[in-house]
Amino acid sequence: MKRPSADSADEAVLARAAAGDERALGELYDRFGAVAYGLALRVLRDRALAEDAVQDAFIAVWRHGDRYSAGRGSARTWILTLVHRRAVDLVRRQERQPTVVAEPEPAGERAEGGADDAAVSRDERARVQSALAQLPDDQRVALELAYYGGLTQSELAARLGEPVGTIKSRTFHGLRRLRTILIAEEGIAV
Amino acid sequence: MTGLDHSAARELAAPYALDALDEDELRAFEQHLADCSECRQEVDELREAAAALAAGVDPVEPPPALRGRILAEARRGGDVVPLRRRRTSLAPPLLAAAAAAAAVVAVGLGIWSGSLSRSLDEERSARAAERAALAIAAEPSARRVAVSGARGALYVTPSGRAALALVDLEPPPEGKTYEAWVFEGDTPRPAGTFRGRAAVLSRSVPAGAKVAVTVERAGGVARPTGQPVLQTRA
Repeated sequence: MKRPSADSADEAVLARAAAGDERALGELYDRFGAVAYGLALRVLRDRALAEDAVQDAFIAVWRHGDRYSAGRGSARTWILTLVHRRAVDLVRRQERQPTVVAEPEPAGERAEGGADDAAVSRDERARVQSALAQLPDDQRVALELAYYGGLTQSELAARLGEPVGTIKSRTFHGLRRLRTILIAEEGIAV
Repeated sequence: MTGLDHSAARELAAPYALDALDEDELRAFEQHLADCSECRQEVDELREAAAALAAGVDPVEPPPALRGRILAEARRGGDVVPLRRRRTSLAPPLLAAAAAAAAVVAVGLGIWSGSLSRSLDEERSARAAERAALAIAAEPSARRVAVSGARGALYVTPSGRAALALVDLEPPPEGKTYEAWVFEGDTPRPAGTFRGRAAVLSRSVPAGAKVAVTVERAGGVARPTGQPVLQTRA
């Protein structure tokens, strides 16, 4: 990811937003809005709810930006964590139908990825997708159902008809392995 | 579920990073995290990997109006006013709604948990939290119990749901939080952290149980470390 100068690093913009600079909040939104919305839509599969999740997350960024701690990860991770957390909260509040995890029908325009200044480049996305594909099926399914499907560990166990202990172990090994693959392939900030 | 030991906690780090813990485990794990730097580091690493999963999703351009709505909502708060101050402006109408409550207390907003994953929920659920606290206070069957150490009261319903409503409680120092405790005999059990002035306890309060609040490090701890800033007996 290109972050040409310290002033324009995500972390610096987040710090400005945390200090009350509204333009910085807009800038963070311009960088991460499409990734955030894509993620929220993937989890929620509902445009209105996905918008709510993104809005809540960015307001949390605005109001609680001072809680971000650079020592604990990138600003991008922090922001996407907030988005994901909110999306999952919302999905759990819905009466959930048991469904398989499938590509949602995105109601919005696909953002054109690949630009140098995009929050996530097309290359990076491809690397993540390929890393996921390298996981053993059972681990990949556990990660996808948990992260994209918003299922808790016990819900996953019920869905897959496996003991919770098995699910925890798959989740752990899957996420660890994903991290290892991403690090090994470099280019991604993990 | 408290007193999670380290090896039990370790295996929760991955589902935690994926926001996939069930509620009881989430609470127990966050308490463990507050005390365990090893697990915090593990979580940080796994969160980066989880965020990579976010990066694997195709971005979708949000509707153009969303940007304006977010900035407008941000602006409504005006300059960055400390949260607690801004919230007091919410109090009067909500208090009016709760006029049926036995005592009128200036209620701020209870905030749950200082942890990252929850900070999100604070703003939107803050109103809900305040309403929840006021709703308990307003229940005809709720008993009002005075507290010592601070102005305010504990409200307890016959089923044990309980809320604290406190007046003039100073915000906790930076990096600290208030944590409520419900005693089982002589043993304090964690009942949630809060920074505001109203909080619904996360643990039920049996009749006669001692309830206390201490100042703890942000995120909360599994056992109280300081002297109670207030206490009472339900």
